[in-house]
Amino acid sequence: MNSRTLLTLAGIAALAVAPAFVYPMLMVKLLCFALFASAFNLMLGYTGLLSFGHAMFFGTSGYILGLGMKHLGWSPELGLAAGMAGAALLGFIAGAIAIRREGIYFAMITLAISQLIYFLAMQADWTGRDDGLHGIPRGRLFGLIDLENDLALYGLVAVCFVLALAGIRRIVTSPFGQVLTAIRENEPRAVSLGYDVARYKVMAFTLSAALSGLAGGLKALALSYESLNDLHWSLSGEVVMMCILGGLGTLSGPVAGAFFVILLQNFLADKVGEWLSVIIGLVFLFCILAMRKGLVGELSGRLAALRRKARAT
Amino acid sequence: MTEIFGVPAQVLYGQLLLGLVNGSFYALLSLGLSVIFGLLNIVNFAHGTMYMLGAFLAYALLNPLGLNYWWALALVPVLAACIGIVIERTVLKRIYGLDNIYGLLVTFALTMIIEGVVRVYFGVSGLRYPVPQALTGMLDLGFMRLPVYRVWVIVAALGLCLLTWAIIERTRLGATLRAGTENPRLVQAFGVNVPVLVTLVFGWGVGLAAFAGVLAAPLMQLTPQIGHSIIITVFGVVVIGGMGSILGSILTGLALGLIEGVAKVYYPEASSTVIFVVMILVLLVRPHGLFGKQ
Amino acid sequence: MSETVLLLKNVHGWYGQSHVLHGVDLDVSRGEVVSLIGRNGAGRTTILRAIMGLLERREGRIEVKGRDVSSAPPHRLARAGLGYCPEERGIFSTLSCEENLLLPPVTRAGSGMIVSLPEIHQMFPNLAERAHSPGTRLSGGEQQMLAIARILRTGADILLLDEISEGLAPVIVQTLARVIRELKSRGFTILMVEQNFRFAAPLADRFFIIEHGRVVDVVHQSDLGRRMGAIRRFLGV
Repeated sequence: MNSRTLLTLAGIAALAVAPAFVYPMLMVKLLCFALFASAFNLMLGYTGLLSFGHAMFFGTSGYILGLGMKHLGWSPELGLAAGMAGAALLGFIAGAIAIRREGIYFAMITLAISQLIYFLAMQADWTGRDDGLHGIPRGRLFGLIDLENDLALYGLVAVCFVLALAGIRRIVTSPFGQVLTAIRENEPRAVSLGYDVARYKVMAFTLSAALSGLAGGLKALALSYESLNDLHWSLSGEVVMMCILGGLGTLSGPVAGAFFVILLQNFLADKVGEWLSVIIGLVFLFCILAMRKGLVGELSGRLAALRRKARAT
Repeated sequence: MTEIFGVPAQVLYGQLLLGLVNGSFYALLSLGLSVIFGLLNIVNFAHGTMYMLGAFLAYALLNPLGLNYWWALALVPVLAACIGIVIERTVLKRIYGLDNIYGLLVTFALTMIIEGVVRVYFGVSGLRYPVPQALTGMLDLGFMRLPVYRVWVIVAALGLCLLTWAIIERTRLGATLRAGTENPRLVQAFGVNVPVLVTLVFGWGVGLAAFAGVLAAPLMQLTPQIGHSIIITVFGVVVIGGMGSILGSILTGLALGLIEGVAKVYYPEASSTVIFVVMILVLLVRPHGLFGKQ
Repeated sequence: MSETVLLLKNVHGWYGQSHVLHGVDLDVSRGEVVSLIGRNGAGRTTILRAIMGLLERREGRIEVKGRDVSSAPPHRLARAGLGYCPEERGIFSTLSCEENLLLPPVTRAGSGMIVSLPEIHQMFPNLAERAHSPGTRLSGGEQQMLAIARILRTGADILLLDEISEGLAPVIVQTLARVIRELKSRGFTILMVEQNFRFAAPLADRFFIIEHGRVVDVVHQSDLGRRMGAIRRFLGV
């Protein structure tokens, strides 16, 4: 058994026993944002595209799930699936528009499209506007499992999280993922090798959007509440920061980054009051200026250096 | 009473004027954003925050310092430019030469920090800034009555835009700036202290945004969030206009303000989204923007 | 022996990861015309860029008029008296011909080496006619003249000229040769990179032969006839 399998098993075991030590609802929140950051990483980390509008997928999916379950009597699994599908469709459309420009313009276009979605949601009656969408029922999973039980809900989120991360690992190690990495490393070369780069980018964008939608749907389900904050660009910015903070282009980086940011927010929330966003901003700033490889990148770099030293002596 | 497409002419004119006011703000902000991007290769996400800061600095000068609007108009852009210069010297200079997404992220972090500080000191409830005495009242043109302050905003904002344009296109300093946008290393090899030029340009761009903030202060409730939607709108403007052309930025800003005004009259639901719809249409037809180069 | 105004000692230079200059030693005396010759890719252009501080990474010692400028930023080098005419000419497309000409600031007002605008227009009559055309609308020859002219009015006394005859019609190359002679007679020190050996041969006092990023030989004008065979071998012609 190699160290990677061991690490994976240890991770799953940790997820299984975590509720005994941590509030299940905090774990749910951590996993939702870890999943969101991992989905985002598919774009920036593996394809090299900076989307600055990923909150639109997170929030749209949450609203679809909330509206369907509250007004149409959908089951949770249908709500999650519909949310993912809606996010994927939105991702496909936004991706097809945004890839017409590159680099910094790509970021600005995704930001502008997400702002368009934000304004639409702010004006629509059915979103509850500034009040948000309250009272989303959690329902029974497959008609059997009552999700009103926090532990059951945590179980669902944990399973989704593990499956999604396994899916992301499959994607990035597949031939499709290799092409994405080739685009990130050297786009003109990928073009000259005959790859339809635009199509690959849109597909990556769509997949990333769908998984972001899964994260958003789970969060709305868990909190029984969806609000405009989940569509706002500050969330889009935060997910970028989580990724960079943890380490781009690694599987564990975004998870570590999301855990770090959410735990830091949780820890500081009742201690520093209004200074919270100043402190988080300073942490981000420090991270970009001083450790661009992120927590995981810096850590694995240190470990490798230590191992080299150990071998040398 | 005359009607235009079923809308009273007075109402339409009023909204067009409001559109021009907003358009002047878009023009001032996108102009600064373009000039900064040209020389620093950084898209300044904090530009909306600097606009917000301009409005709050004006407020802070009035209470508690008692310095009135005219003082604010003169002092606030200088203060903001100084803040910008400190930011450029301490933070931005560390990321030159990196991929320009880092510029966007660093200025995003700065947005969080600056906005957080303003929230700590001024709170989140809307503050009021009075219209200066000399600019209250209405101007009667016969076919419509114009609030004097709005006319002043348009004149002042466009005046500053044109001044900036003239400096860049018509002076030797401007020629150095344009050359620096094309090839900063070579300009430096000719003996121009480019790092200082870069610092001053950032200060100038930030000063323009803060000036817009002072102009806007009497027109709205001041909250730390007022920079939020304007920065995204201005991003839309520069995607449409392209960041390469100064006049392009000004014209696109004004035009989009007017389009918003028209939308408010005929289809109010779309007024906040129409700029983004235009952006998408332009991207589909001319991917590099109206004034952009390949 | 006249004063050494430009001195390179064991200069190394890199483009990204690739090591291009491997210990260049070079000296230029006041009023001298020196030509760097060698095959394409030998590192001649890189030497000029290294002197101007335009490489990302550089090691070794560079002195201008006895002052160590090894770690000075590019604008300090211009102020020390270096005028640089890059290989790609570096004409700015958003500037008019006249704006291009006036772009480099006068860095050494009292040096006595400033060529006045009327003199420049006399040397290059086309530049006066095309004053208001955008820089990149000029012909190749006009662009080259502009690139040389703009470093003459700043007070620079050491000119670094990179491939000024490249791709130009014979009649323009003759004009440029005349210009180089005039500049030499005015006391300018010139370090030029030339691919066109027939252009450089009658102009330069000394020839530094560059191969694999270092100086492999120095030939004086007086030895030129005797050493022609060796030079041909190095140039691969």
